[in-house]
Formats: sequence, structure tokens, C-alpha cells
Amino acid sequence: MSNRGKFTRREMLSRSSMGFGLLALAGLMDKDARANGRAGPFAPRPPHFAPKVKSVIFCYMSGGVSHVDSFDPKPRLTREAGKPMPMPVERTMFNDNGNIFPSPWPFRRYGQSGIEVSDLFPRIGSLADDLCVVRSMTVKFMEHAQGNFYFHSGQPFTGFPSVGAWVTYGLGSVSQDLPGFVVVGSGEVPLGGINVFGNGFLPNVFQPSMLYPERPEPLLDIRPKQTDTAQRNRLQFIASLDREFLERVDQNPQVESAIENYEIAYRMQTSVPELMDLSKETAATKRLYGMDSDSPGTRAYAQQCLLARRLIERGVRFVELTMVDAKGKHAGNCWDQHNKLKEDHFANAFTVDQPIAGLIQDLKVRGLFEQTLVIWSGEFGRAPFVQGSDGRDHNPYGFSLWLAGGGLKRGLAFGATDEYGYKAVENVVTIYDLYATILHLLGMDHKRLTFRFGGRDFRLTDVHGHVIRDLLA
Amino acid sequence: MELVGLKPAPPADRRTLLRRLSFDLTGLPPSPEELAAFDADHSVAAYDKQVDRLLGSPRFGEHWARHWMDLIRYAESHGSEGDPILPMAWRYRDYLIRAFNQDLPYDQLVREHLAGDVLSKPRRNEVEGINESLLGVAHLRMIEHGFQPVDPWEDRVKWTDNQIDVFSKAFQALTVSCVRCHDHKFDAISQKDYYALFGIFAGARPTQSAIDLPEVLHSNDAELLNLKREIQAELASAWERAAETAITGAEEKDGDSPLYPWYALREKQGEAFHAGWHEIWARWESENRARAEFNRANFRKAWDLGSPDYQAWLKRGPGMGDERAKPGEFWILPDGAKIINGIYPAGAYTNILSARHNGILQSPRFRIQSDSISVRLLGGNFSFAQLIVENYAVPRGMKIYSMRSIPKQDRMAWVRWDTSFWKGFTGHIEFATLDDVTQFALETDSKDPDAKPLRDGRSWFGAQQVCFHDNQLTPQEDVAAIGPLLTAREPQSAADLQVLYTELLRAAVASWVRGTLTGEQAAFLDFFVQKGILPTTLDKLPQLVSLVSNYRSVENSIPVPKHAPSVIEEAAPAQALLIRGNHKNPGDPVPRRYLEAIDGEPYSDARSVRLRLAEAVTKPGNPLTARVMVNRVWRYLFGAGIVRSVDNFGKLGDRPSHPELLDWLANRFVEDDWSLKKTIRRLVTSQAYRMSSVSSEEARRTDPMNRWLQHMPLKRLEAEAIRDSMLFVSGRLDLSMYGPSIPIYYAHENSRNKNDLPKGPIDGAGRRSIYLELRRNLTNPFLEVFDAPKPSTTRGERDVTNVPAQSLSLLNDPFVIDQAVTWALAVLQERESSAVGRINLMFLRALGRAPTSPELQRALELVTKERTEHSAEPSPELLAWSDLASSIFNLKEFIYLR
Repeated sequence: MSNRGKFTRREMLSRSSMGFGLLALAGLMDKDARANGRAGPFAPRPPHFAPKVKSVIFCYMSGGVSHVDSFDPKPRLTREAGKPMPMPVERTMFNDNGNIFPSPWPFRRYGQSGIEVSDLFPRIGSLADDLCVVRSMTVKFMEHAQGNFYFHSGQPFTGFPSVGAWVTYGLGSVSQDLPGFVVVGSGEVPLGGINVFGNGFLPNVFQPSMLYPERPEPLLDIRPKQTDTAQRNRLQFIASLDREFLERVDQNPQVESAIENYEIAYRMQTSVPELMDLSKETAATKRLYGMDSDSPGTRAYAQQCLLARRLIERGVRFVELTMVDAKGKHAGNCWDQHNKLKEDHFANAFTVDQPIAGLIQDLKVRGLFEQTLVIWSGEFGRAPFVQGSDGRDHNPYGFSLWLAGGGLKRGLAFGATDEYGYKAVENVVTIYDLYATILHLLGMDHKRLTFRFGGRDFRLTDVHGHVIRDLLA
Repeated sequence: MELVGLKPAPPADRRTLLRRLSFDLTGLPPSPEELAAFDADHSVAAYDKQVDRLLGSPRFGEHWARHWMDLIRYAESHGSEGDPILPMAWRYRDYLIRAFNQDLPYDQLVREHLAGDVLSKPRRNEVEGINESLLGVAHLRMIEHGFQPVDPWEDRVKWTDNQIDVFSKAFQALTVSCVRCHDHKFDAISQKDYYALFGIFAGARPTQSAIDLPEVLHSNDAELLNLKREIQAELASAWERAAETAITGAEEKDGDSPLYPWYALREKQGEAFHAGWHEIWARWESENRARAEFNRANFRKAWDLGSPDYQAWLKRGPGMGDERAKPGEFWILPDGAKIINGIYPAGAYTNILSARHNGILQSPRFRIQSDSISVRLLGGNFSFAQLIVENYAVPRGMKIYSMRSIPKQDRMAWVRWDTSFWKGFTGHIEFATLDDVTQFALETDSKDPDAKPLRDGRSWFGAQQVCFHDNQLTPQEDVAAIGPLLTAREPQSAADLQVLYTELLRAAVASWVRGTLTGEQAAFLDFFVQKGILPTTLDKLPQLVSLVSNYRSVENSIPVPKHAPSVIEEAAPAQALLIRGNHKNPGDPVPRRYLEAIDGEPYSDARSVRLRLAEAVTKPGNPLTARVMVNRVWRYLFGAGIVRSVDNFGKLGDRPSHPELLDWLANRFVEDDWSLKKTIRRLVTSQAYRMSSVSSEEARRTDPMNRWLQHMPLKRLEAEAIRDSMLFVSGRLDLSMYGPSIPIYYAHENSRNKNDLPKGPIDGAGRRSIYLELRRNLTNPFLEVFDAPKPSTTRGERDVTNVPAQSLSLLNDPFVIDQAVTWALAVLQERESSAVGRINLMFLRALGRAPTSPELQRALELVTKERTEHSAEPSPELLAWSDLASSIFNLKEFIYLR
């Protein structure tokens, strides 16, 4: 074993400016023989091969964005508006499906690539040359909860780890005082509940940490409920008694790392508020994200995007952002426009367009874009025909998402749905293909990232999945 | 171990040992008094006495039931969108606690889990008055459901897979679920084995069920029946008298009404009377024919529950008799001036004696092939009738899932459900009383937000016909009530007509009392009863007051039935193998049987397949059942199994470290009549269990994983034990047992699901963790951070993670702080008033030992420093001591068991 672990740990401990850190360090100094080389809970692990990106920011558009109104232009819908669909229509949950419903938004070509994006997303559209748009995504479930689980874990229910948990399991985290997998919450989580992001059968080291920017306690139990002095008094007492206990239990490594966790926990109490504190960001940066917007939704989502950048800067491996509505809250199922598509899709798009565009620009300016993967998707798309008079029902058979960042082609539109945007017909992409590609960019072979549980070696990609080589730069 | 040259660790000291034993058997630490008693007991049997005491403690069952709940993925909701609750799931939790406390032989526990609903001699709990065995199958309901799937068969395939997964892992440590799509790559398990099991579980149809012993709800039946006869006789004689003047002054313009001829003809005479009579007769005759023709042309009769069809339906509950009701049945209302509300036609009724006789009545499974299904029913207080597609057993509300009705009427009426979406799926029709309903979805049915069921145990339905059709019509009612009048004889005058009414009413009343009422007579009589022309209220029948109040008081002494999740065996056909696991690609049916490698004989009787499976698992020749369970017990006591992969004895699992020991323990387990307590006693009284946890230098070098068990491994307490210990130490622990779960505490309203129960108290009302609500989508963050498993499949081995979130929880969680303050308050109220004395007591209570003198010094210093730090606050003394208290909760010694 090298001394690397020891130094990392020492460094880590001495970085803590409080007396407690030094005190506990003194207590641990002579235990190095056993502790040496032992990985902390968040320690980074080597990838299978050289990675293209280090971290992931997943902008999850829960509820299901309409692809035919955003990234998949279908002029036939306009030409054949109000006519019946010329092909059989699959059963839907509402089963209230009418005729062809054209997009209320014009599409325009952007940049060198000429990728067409609708007027819902003018700012993201203007960055089309940085995007890798997939227009042939498919999923197997057409209800939200099943869809949310499926889009996160490849299975339609709980018990299976989400992609964020898998990535953190595979690679650990560079950050030593922040968790490896962070979900920035708006309050309400997508339908299916908190387990949508969950670690499933993976140990809970890999569970998502829910970060709620709006709450007095943004991370569960992160806020000391007493003065720092009072807490340090307690920590000193705890550390001194724990030290003796550690002797009595033969330097048991489990106990030792439990003791060590108090160091990290103590530091997290300052590192998390420091992370959340946006006051040191320049006005220009804040403006870029839309933090000065008149819309409370845009401001709230801008805060999430800015936090995402700060999280990956600090080495957090996987960040997922959750939807907020135009008022900036309660948006577990935000994009679900079974009616009032025009009003509500516009409001949602207005909420995320500037913050996400700002994030991409900021990542580029800071040189982070090349080492980051940004994913934008909902759990499914929406139907090209009308539901009721002004909505669209769910469509799992073909929809759009986009990826951006290191290792990817730029300004690419990949795959296609049929002329009505109903079903993917060209270069059909499954969730397993998407995961295989994400893992590949992170330096992992999706077939080798396994975890044995209950007698079986499980994979994020189950027994499926191909890396979509066409997307890779 | 000594074979490999390792010398066992020395025995643990007494206090360490009792602490270990106490946590392992009960999940709680020993009290200072118990420690002192053990210290003072110098008899040879001192340790054995402690073992017996702890095995006999009610806390034992609470602790070991929780282990079992990990295996069976206990949850009180179904997950996915809305996280619908599984009502009364907690009764199964209580069943487990009783089973472990009573040392129910393990083979019986297994039998009840697989076939508790069909045992010929179910186990009776005389104290609770319930059928215990019936509760065993509740775990089959603890599955996750998708939200309103458009393909409920796919959903069903997935949750049946979960049942097979849990069954095979929990009872057999086999991963049978792997072979859904292909033969096992490593073990001798084939895809056919999987579908043989699938067919077994597929017959277990979800229901809620009353669990009361039959005599509990039926003990007054004879008395009620006698009283009912007397009431009937009194009514009959009153009605006979009333028949004389019944029609005087009656106005009736409805042509279907038995009174219409009187209304139309009472002032007619001679030829006009005759012509009028013939006209009415002819109209009735043709109308009757037309309606019969209409019904014949538009509807296919599926079942008539007033006919022998009733026998083919599945029944559960005290309200479902063996025989259908003949025409003339009636219900004595439980309160109010009205005694009865009608005379029922032939059919199935739950409320013949009491509306507390609940029930569930389910049709045979059928393939849905019509656009509509209509049912004819009556009922009240949120009884349900519904079409259940592919056993999809959670409340639903969306359009395509709206095939249900809540009858609120005293008379049979038709309702139609649109089933066009479901053609091609299989389903069944269910009639059920309020607490028996498989899918209760009140909020989506109620237009009136105040409409809430009355929770007095009463709910009732009557069910008659079911028909299939492809139109949006409902069947027309027969013109039955007027029939007896028009077919009796031709009256000669208005006066004669009046006589005829009297004759017919008297004849009907007489038949009613004799029990020979025809359907038409019942309808005729019912008309006059419903109209109140024949008196039905106590004010008009003063002679019935004492009889009726007597009946009502006996009826009211029937207890409110207790319910639990359950299944009902539908004797389904064998399941077809699904090629490559594709639910849309069926191959040949696979006869039901157990795994070929263990016992491949097919089961011939579809009604007893789960019973046969239970036999296959519990018979002495099964190589796995006993080994798997003793290995689990070993795991819970020694921290690692003899086979480390406790849920997998297959090829991908670990080899046993001590195969002969495992065999020996398994044999003894069976010889001891599958007694878990004896097995536990055998293990905890062994030298190995009583060793110290200090390892030798030699052992650390040659066996760092401690496979040879040179010393007792250090164990971190499980999440529940950590929480329960805090409650114990603080004095807040409320040892009440059983009952509905305590709603979970959550800090933020907006993270809930809208269907959640109200927020619970922060300290869980002081109850042990096993009594806290366990929802799939709203887990307890404190327990979860200490690795409480998510309820998705069998977890014989919990993770023991080490994450900073645990430190943060122990430092800052409001529950921990709350308990620290509670404890400090108690300490400050003790008679002991010296700081040293208090600290001594605190250490004893929390850690089972006195502090060393440096520890004492540090504790004193901490209190002093914190008192100063808090001096500006209202109660520095309390805060200082609660800082010490919470610091003790944070000690590793508090959560690690030596």
C-alpha cells in the first residue's frame, strides 16, 4: 500500500480550520497502520478506461416534454392539422385521443449545424452547435411513475439503483466533503417518490443526497442546532471517548471510519452552506443564468443550474436537477400538459431555457464543458394528436432528448421519428443504449459495471444496451 | 477453528455478554437493574436464566419479527404514483410478533405464509378471537403496483415475479426469479420451474378478509334468526290486517306499478271496467314480452346469483352464506323508526342477519370480450361492485379504470361499466363490503366531499345478475311486481279488484312466512313495503318495539369485524410459459409443481396448489428449508452466516464455512419441532457466542475475515435498535404492543404524497420502530440512514454502511435532540443530585457500565463547559445535561455491540 491514502486523509483533515479536526487527527495519527490505503466512503475509484467526462448534470424534465413542440419539427402536423392520424393509434391511459394537433410554435434553424429548434427554447436553440440531439428516444412505459423509475433505473419500479447511484458506485466522488450524488430538489419529487433517484440494492453510500436550496436546512440534518462552541465541546468529548473505545475494539476499521465520518460531517456543516452561498458569484454570472429574471420559476431553476456548476466544480460526480413550475415550486410532474399545452409548455420552457443555456455557456467559459456531460430529457414525449381540445397525452414510442459536453459530437441531430413524430423509426435508442453511452463517456464499460445482489450480477443496462458510437466525437 | 490452529478468544465479560445477548434477542439494551441482577447471580445457571428471561420477553418477538419483515419486504403501501396504502397490513406485523413470541414451529410459519387461507385446521387465537393462520398469506399482498397500467397483465407478471422472488429467496435461498426468461445459468432451476411456481401464485387472488373466528361474528346467529322469525311473524300479522285497506286512497300513475289498475279502474264499472282491465293486461303482456325480447337481443346473461350460479363464485366473510337467498329475504335495519326497507328478490346478500356480517363475492375469472358489463345490485355504506382486471389491486380513478359502482339504494338496480378498453384481458367481478373491498378508491367516486363511510363495521350489498353486452344500454327491468295481480283472476268490478288485492297480499304474506314466496310475489310484496302501504315503522307497529329493540341490541353486540390483507384461491388454470420472459408471448402451459430438482411431481387439484407447495417446502426431505433458516439465525447472532450469502445457497452464493455444523444445526432444528427459540438458545449458550470480541494477533494474520470465528465479531446495531435504544435510555420508550402503525414524522409538508396520512409525532409516540408506518414512498430518513432496507425484495443481509450522513443524523437530527432533552429532564429529576452520580447513572443506562475516571472527568468538564456556553439561554442546566446525553448517543460504543 502506498502512502497516498494517508496523505489524502491528513490533507483532508488539516484542511479543516477548526480545532476539532486537529484534535481528532492527533487521535488517529498512530492508527495509520490499519487505516492506510483504506478508502473513505466517497473515495474516487478508477474507471475502466480513460473517461471523456468527470461528472454529469442531468436536467430532468419530469412530466414529459412534447418533442414535436421542441426539438423534433414535423411540418406534416401543420399541413394535416385536424385530420385523423393516418396510422393506428396505440391505447393511452386517458384514451381521449383526437386528430392531428400541430405545434403552436414555429421552428427555426440555428448555427452552423442548422438544427431546428422551436421557439419554446430560443436560448438553448442558439447553442444548437453545442448539442447532440437524439430524436429517436424510446421507453417502454407510458405512465409517469413507471416512466420515472424506468428512465432512472431501467426498471419500472423501486428496488433498482438509479443511474446516479450506479455512476457514484462506479467512480466514487472526487469531493471529500460533499456526497457523490446530489439531487437538487424543488420540494416535490417526480411521481413515484424519492426512490426514483434511489440507490435500490446498492449500499446507501450511493444514495442521492437531496439538496433543497429553499429550505432552512438544505441537506437533512446539516444544520447544527447549537453554537459551534457547544458542538465542538461535544465533539471533543465524543472523540476522546471514541478513541478509547477504538482501543478496546482492536482498532476495528469500521469503528475507525465511523469516527472519521464525524470529521467529514463536521466539515460538511460548513462546506454545504458555503456551497449554497451564491453571494460570491458575480452579477454577470447570475444574470447569465437568469437569477435576475422577473419570473420566480426562472430564478429558482437558475439557482439550481448555478448550484449544479458549483457542485461539479467541487468534484460531485452526478447532479440531478428537478423541475420547478413558473412560480418556482411544487413541480413533480411539471411538463404533463394533458390540456393547456400552449400556456403551460411555454411557462415551463421559459422557466428552464435561460438557466440551462446559461449553465452551458458558463461551463464553456470556465473550461468545464469538456469534462462534463449535460443531459436534458423527460420520461417520455407527447403525442402528435390532440387530447381533449388543447393537450397532448403521453408518447413513449419516440421522443427527443439532448446531450452536451465532453466526448460528444457537436451540432448533431441523431435518429428520427416518423413524419408525424409518433414513433421512432431511424436509429432507435433505448434507455439501455443511453446508459451504455453515458457510462462510456465516464470511462466505464456498461457490461463490466456490475453489482452482485441476491445471487445475481446486476447491471444498469440489464442484459441490453449498446454504446451509441455515432454520438461520440 | 482449532483445526486451523487458532485459539478461541477468551470469554466476554459478564456485562458485555448480557448487553450482547439483550440486543441480539430483544433489540434493546439491558437495564441497569438487569445488569446488577446478573452481576449478583453467582449460580451456575446465571447465564441460562438470562437467556430464558430474554427469550420469554415480549420484546423478543418484536425484534425477530423485524428480521422476518426484511425477508418478506414488509410494506404498508404499493408504491408508484400515489403510493396507495395496503389497508390493515399492520395486522400481519402483529401476527409475526405473536408467532415469534409463541415460538410457532417454523414449518407452521412457512405453511401459513404459503397456504394459511386454505388450511383445514387453521390456528385459532382465542384471545384475539381471530384465525391466525389466515394472516400468514398477507405478505403475498406486499407487492409494488404500477400506477394505472394500460397493460395490467404486464404489471401482474412483474408482481408475481416479485412473489416468486421473495418466496424462493426467503424460504429456500434460491434465486428462482432469474429463470423468468431463460434456464438458470448456474443452478439446476429451469424456466419451466419458474412457470410451474407462477401458476401456483397466480391462483392467489388478492382480497381483504375478515379474520375473526367464525363463532365471534356468528355466536348470536341462532338468537337473531329466532328473533327475526318472530319479527317476521308479527309483521305478517300486521300486514294481513293492513291488507284489507291497503289500497284505499292510493294514487299511482306508473303503468308498471301494481297499484296502477286500481288507479285506472277504481271508478269504472261494467263493460268499461272489463275493457280497462283487458287493456291493462294486454299492455302488460306485450310490454313484458317486448322487454324480455329487448333484453334477450341486447344482453348475454353471464351469471344470476339468485340461481345455482352462485355456487361458482368465490366467497369470503361472515356475510357470505353457502346458499343463495331465496325470494323474500329481508334486512332488519340496525336503527331508526323503520324496521325493514324491502323484500329482496333471490340473490346474494351479506346482511341477512346483520350488516356487520361483511363479505366479499368474486366471480370466476373470465376473459373480457364485451364492450360493457352490467350488474344488478343494491347496497349501502360504501360497499363496492367492480371489475378487477388481472388482479390489479389498488385504487384507481382514471377513465379507463372506472369500472365500479357504490350502490346506495335499497332496491336492485342495474349499472353499466364500459369495458371496451379491457377486451382481451382476464378479470373478475367483485362485490364487497366496505372493509373487504380489494380496491378502495373513495375519493374518485365521491362527488360529495363530505360523503364518508360510517366506520361502525356495517356495510352491505345484494347482488343479482351480471350480463355482458356490446352496447351502451342497460337491461330493462321486468314488469314483475304487477304480475301476480294480472295473472291471478279477472276481477269483476272495482270492489272485486279491491278484494283481489287483499287476497293476493294475504297470499303473499302467507307464502313469505312459509318461505315459499315466488320472485313475482316478492316483487309484489316489496312494492307495498317500499311504499309504506304495509306498515314498516315502529310508530305504526308499537307491538314490535320490544322485539325489534331486542334484535337490535343483540345485533349490535356483534363485534366490528377485524380485517387484513389476504388472498382467495381461485383454482386458476396452469400458467403458460412466457417465451423469453415476454408477457405477450405465451408458450405451452406448465403444470404446477415444485422445482424439478427437489420434487417435480405435478399437482392435480388446482384448489390446493399452495398447500402442496407448503408441503414441499416443509417436508423433512427438503434440503434447504431448515438449513436456510438456521443459517439466518446464525447470521443474526454471529454477524455472518455459515453460508455468508444468506439469501443464496445456489452456485453463485458462498460455500458454507462449516458444512457439518450447518447440517447438525438444521437436523436439531427439525428434531426440536422447528423451534426457533431452541435453536437460538443452542447458539447463544455456545462457547463461541460467549467469546470476547477481541481478536488474537494470530487470527488477524491468518483469518482477517474471521471465517473461523476465532472471536465474536463487532456488530453495529441495526437502525431500529439504535432508535429504540435512544427511547429506552431517555425513558420515553412506550412498550405498548400491536395496533395501527404510528404515522411517520416528516419535516416538510411538500415532500409528501397527497394521499399520505397525517404527519406523526417526532418521537413516534415513543413506540418501538417496528410499530412505525412503513410506506414505500415515504421512508423514515433516520432509519434509512442506518441501512433499514427498502421494501422491494428479500434482504437477509442488511448493508452496514458508514456514511457521514449517520454522523450528521446523530449530531443534528431533531429526534436525537428531542430524546437527549427528554433524557436530561429525567436525569435532573432523579433523586441522585450529584453530577458524578448522574453521570454514573447515565453511563450505566446507555452503555451498561460505569464511566472510567477519565471519562467521568471529561463528562464533568463537558457539562461545565456547556453550562457556561448556554448561560445566556433560558435553562442552561438542562441544555448542558442534554448536550451530555446527546453526546453519549453519539458514542461509537452506543451503536457498536461488542
